[in-house]
Amino acid sequence: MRALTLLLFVPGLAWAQSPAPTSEPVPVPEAESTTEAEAPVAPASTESTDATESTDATEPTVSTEATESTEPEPAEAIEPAEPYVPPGFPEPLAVPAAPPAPAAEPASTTAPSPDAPRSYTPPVTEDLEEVVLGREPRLHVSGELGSLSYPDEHFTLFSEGGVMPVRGFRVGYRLIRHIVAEAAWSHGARGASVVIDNDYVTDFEDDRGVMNTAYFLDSFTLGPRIDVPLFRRMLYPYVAGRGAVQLQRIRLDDDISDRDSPGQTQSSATALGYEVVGGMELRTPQGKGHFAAAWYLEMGRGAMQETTFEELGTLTAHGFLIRTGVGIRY
Amino acid sequence: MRTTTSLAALVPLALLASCGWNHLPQQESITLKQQLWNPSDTYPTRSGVYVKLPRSGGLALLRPDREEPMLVDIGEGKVARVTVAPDKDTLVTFVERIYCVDRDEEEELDPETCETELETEISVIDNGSVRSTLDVDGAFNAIEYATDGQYGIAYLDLSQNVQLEGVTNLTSVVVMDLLTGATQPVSVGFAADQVLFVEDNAGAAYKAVVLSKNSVAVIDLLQDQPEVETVFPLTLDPDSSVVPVGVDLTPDGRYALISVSGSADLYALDLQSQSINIVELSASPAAMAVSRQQDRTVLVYSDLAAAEVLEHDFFDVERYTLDEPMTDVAEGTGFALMYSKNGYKDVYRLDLASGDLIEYRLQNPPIEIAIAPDETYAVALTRAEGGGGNDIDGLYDNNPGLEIIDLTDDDTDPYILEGTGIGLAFSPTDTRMDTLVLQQGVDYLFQLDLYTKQEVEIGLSAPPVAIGSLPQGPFYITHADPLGLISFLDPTTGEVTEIAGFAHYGLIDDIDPIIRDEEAR
Repeated sequence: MRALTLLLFVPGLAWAQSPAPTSEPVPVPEAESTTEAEAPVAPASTESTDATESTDATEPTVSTEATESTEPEPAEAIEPAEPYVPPGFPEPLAVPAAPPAPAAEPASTTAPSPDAPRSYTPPVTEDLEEVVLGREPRLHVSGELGSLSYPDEHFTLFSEGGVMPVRGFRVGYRLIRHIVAEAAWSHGARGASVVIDNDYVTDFEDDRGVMNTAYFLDSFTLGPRIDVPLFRRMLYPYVAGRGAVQLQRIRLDDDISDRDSPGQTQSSATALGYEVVGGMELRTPQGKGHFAAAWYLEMGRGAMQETTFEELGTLTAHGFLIRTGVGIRY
Repeated sequence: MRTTTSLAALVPLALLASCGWNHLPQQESITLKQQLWNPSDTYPTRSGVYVKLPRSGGLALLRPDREEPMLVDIGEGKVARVTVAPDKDTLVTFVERIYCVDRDEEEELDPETCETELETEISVIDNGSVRSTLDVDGAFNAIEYATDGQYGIAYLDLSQNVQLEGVTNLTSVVVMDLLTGATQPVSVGFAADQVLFVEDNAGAAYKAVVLSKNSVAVIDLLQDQPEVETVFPLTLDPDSSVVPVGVDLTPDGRYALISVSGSADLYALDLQSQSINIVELSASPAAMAVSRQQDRTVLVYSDLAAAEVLEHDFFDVERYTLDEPMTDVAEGTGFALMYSKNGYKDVYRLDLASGDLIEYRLQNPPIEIAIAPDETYAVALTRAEGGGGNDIDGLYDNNPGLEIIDLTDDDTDPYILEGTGIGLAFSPTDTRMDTLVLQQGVDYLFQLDLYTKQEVEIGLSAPPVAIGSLPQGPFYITHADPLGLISFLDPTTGEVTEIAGFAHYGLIDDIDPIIRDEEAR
């Protein structure tokens, strides 16, 4: 996976010529020089106080002064034994300017042991993204629209399609690299004017009655989202599992023009359930302040326990759900 | 800073989501084929008014002294028919239940996927709870009760909407002992549709007369298992069809008087000697009424301007010539009030003791006439006749009316109503005789004291559909409200109490199939 990500990442770097600023310390490649003959890179940088000063959050971590302060030319530093730096890749990866000077002092005074094992660990892609793009946005805020399925035949009293459109917002916080804790609230209201075909008086007049039905839903969900950033954090496929609490209210009214009509009634109930979704999130390129705008689309299945509305009866919501939203990540 | 930014982002989202929260959403228009309740189909008892809920299959009980309606727990099933027993306490209901059929002797049946069959049972309900359940084998939708309430006979009334499933025996009725819960099917003849009970002086039923096509069966109820005692054939020609349309018993219970469709013959079945007397009338009777006090039967004819009185000893017929043909008879103590619903305006009062015939002339044709409890007045609801003219006759012709008929004299007192009268009830006290009139599309109750002619309008929250009374006195008025609305009226105080919204009970509740227990399977 990392290899694949790296492959995807390299052309991505070519597309983004300007490296993103970072305030994070750049990881130091370890054991980059294995022989005394080879020019050690670390001592050169550690001897230069300019290099330390160049670790400005708004500037690239590469310091030309630091590079100039080393004896070998940059071209000479790119030897087969050195880590490969792709064209256009920021040189600081090859020049450890980030480590604080005190930490590098021992290396400048003590030569590496000839017996030290020759090893190299290439930087992982996430690390590269951290370097290039900065830290990943942690806070997610979105407004969203969606629909829930109500296959219960009694739901046709409120909507013949058996679908409940909802709207709401979602907030999330990235706990660790691939996991975002999300909480959401959504609200939906569906209603109908119901004509009751009851011509009970045997005359020639239309005795049909009309009542109004309404179903209100407030749904709260909480759960983790597991995602993978792709294409320089512009695409996030993800899956999520969420626990749900639904506050439901049914209202029936025989005369909506009268606030105190005698036949109006309402009943409320609470139901627990869950939803499992898979989705895709598209983000704008991450800009300054780790800000990105996002659009996502997710689909899945939700299931709620049977809800009992006192003397009215029961209603069940389960089945397909679809949701889309836009928001910001920072 | 981050917190501020987050809150700033949430505000427009919250505003977007909160649009229209306080409004009832109406995105669609839906038509329900089945009504939630029928304002014309209520059952008054001493416990209150029972209301059938056709869509949910339930039964609600409304009490005038409680605002909250009560849903009767009948279990998984649908109340198909309701009848009130003569004691005015007991409600007898036909409940249809769906059972899972275990043809393959499966260990576990799934109610959602199993094969089902429909069965009907009778639930006896008292004060809002099921007292007992009677199993009846067959398709029945009506019950006739003896006056004492001990016996009932269930039969299939083909005049009602009938849904039959599977093999159905149309020749039997079920005799029910409502006290013991025992039921006994009895074969009586094809398409039994009318039942009468023969009662002793104490009011206890001992025989039942069941009319069916071409025959009349007499059932002895006092046997351990009720059985047919006699069958009277109404014709000996198998090719002819004799369909009874009217039946009554003489006051001594000895004779059953039966009029048949399209015939001027009146069958007098002697239940003691088991013989048949055929009385020849002037025409096929439109209605008849048996006077208990005078031991006579009054018959009227829709095609003949005459009334006939039949005495019960020798079945002699006495004929009275009228100006117009009559279609209905209202029975009073010692007299009969005859009127026509076919557009004629004459009303006749026939004194059965003296034979005096008094003619009243109404302003408009009557649609209903009711005799007041003290039998000093009768009240007629009349319909608009149409026609022109701005004079007083034209005014009467163009409006529905109410006419007070003085039964002690030959006077009538007409009133013009705002809407066509659709219901009539009386509220007698020691000093007043109030009549309550419902008018179609008019949201008040017109109260008129027949003694003093004082008028009061009692406001209602919605136009009424029907009026009835509970055995203990209060009146109830039903309204055309889709979610249910009944007003209880205390006639002594004029206070109106409304109970509403009961029709939504069980609105979204399923009637699930029932899985029988192992033994029942």
